[in-house]
Amino acid sequence: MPPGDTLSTEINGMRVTISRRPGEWQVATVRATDQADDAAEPRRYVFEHTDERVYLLPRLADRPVIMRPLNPLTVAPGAQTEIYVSSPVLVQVAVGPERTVLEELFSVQPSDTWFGESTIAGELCYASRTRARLRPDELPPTNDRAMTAVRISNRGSDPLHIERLALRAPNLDLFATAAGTLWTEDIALDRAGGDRLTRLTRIEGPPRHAHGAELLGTARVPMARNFVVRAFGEMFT
Amino acid sequence: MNDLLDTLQTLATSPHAVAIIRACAMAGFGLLLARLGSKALERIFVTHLDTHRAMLVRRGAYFTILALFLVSALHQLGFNFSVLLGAAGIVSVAIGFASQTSASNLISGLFLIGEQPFRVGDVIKIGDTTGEVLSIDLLSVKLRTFDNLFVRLPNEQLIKSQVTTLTRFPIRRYDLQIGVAYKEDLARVSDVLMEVADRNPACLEEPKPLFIFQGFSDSALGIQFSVWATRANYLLLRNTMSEQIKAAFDEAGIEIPFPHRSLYAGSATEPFPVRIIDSSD
Repeated sequence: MPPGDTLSTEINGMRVTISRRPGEWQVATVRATDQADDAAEPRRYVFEHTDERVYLLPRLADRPVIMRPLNPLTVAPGAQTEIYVSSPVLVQVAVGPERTVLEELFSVQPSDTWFGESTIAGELCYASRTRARLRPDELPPTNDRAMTAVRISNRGSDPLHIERLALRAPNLDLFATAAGTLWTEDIALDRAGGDRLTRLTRIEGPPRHAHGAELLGTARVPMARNFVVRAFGEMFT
Repeated sequence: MNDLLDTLQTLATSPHAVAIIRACAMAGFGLLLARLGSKALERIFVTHLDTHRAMLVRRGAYFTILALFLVSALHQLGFNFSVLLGAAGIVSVAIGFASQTSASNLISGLFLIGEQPFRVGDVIKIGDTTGEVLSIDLLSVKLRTFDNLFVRLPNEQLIKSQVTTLTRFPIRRYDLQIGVAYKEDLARVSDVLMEVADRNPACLEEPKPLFIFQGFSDSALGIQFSVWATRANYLLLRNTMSEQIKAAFDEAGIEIPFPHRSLYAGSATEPFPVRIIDSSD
């Protein structure tokens, strides 16, 4: 991008305008939800030198995403299933040879939510509704959400009601297929009998349903391949 | 001239002068050591303890080292501490009466430090005062209020009265008190409110917003609508929710009533005189 030039593009209903000025970058955004009379005020980033390279890349969310199935879902004792969920992705604006990140933006800001045992202990997450499809092709193809295949096995003796599902987005890698569909690696949740804790396994490598997918971005926070988490929310019940 | 030099020499070699020089050197060395030692200790402890405790360690070390050296210096000068200790019994009674408030604050301060209801940097509310804790000392707690005033609260007052720590937990609830007209359908009002909460990104989806019917008040149906936000977004939520609820109520035609008054003449049967003005005139 030559100096003085302006790049404007629309990503999922959000207009991003990036301008290169002498010694600074300016980024302005207008979302579909913004009021029409809100003028897009640019945010300025000052550099010693500006380079012609600008990158707009999808990234997974910076906090876990709490999925709530639109219709209650129950996994029978001893049953194993695979559900497909999608989580919102951010657009990362980066510049220069070292890909200095200027901003990370959601095209539609997801609602915040709290995930934890009580209002005292827990963590801040993003909320998302999901249809929890049982077939990958049933998910509507979008490029503002990343799909994840979640294999759930219920080894307990009682049915597993899935009210909420915490997707640890900062721990996952992001892949893209040639068609532009975004996927994360597959995950497996094994619920042992008795307790509410669940063993989460990240299945390394490209997702099974995304043929020929390429790695687009590695996890923000590296995670052990196998660990025990509270993935099914049963708080406040 | 020689006389003066002789006198100075006699003075310098006299045991008193030597003792004074020694005492001064000891006090000076003590001051230096106390300063360096306490700073070194604080640096060691700062990784293990919070800022407030590290500060206490530094002050404690400083005063202990300084006191030890000052006592030794005074001893050099020939002070007899056994006499002083004997007198201390009588003096302490007198001091005790004189410094009742300070002693009470001091002991309250020790309890505050032990109990830790709040830390340096927390925002607390006591009575009408809300502010950020700057320091927790043995006698008082210092606050900076949001209008940038310095407030000193005696520890005794903090121990005796109710103190609210606003920044203890990560999320907070905001209770909106709303009144709607008697003609409104409460189920519809609830739906409109829930939709507003759903649309506001600062409003947490979980814990769910609460709709509580408060009762039939004088001119409105009283409703409490409680929404949750993170501590950082609390003020944003407070402002945006009120604005958005007003807009949503206006759009849905839900009336927020003001107090109504019915006027009667001396006898309820007596009508008010009414004068009709013809607009065509």
